[in-house]
Amino acid sequence: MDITSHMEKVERMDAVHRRLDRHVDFELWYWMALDAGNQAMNAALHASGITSEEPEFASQVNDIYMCRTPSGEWKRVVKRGADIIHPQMSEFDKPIPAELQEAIEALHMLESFRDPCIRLGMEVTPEIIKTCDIAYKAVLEITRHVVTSARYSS
Amino acid sequence: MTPERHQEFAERITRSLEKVTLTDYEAVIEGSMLAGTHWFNVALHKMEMSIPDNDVLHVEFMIVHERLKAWLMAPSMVEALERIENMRGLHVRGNAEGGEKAATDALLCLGLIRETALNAEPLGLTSPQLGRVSLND
Repeated sequence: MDITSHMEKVERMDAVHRRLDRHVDFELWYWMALDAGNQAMNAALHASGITSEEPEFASQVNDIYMCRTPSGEWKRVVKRGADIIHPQMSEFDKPIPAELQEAIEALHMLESFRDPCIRLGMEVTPEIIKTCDIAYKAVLEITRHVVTSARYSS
Repeated sequence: MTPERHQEFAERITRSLEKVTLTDYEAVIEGSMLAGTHWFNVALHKMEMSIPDNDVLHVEFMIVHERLKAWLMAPSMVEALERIENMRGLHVRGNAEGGEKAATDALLCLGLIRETALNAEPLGLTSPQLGRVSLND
């Protein structure tokens, strides 16, 4: 997907995230942060030239994308180097700049609570919520800076 | 997790879904996927097709024979959760048109999965521990 569309997704998802109660609605609050963080990461990876803006949409499986055919149907195709679904499940063919690596590590931190807290029943403590919030804000701050910097330098 | 714990999660997430609208279709689809997966696990545990320590995280990542057995016993439930999962590429990660329509469908699928889980009963099949196959066996 192109950078503009990724950033539009970030704004939509972040708006829902901010509307929800981080304690009462933790699961959806968290998941919108995860989704927004991943969209922002894709925008920053494209802006840095590490991955490409491609028309296909990422599926649930690495390297498999949803592609629109001329007849308007959706079909699955295999390709590499476009949108990612999780940084820790991705291989990059170009070196990651230090600033973006920091955002990737913050996204890893956020993701580390996904299965334990959302799917496997680990207790969600105030410390976990705070850690998620800090990691999410770091992802957004860095990736937005990367995208904005690339826009002005091009 | 136990069926009771899965149900708590599913109901919590469903209450959160009441705070978003169809225009927030990404949140509706994702919430339906999360709550639906918890209900899906409720159903499999109650049907004794899986043990509480063996939860499904994503229906499309199920081991082939376990997915086949679940589909044979509850085809509409398996297909409903797959349908929600398939919306994610187009409307959550991607920006295909029709997000609000997809969100409406996701909620219908979630309702179907929930009903199946609430009505699920033991099927009297072979213990899931014995039926489990690993590539390392």
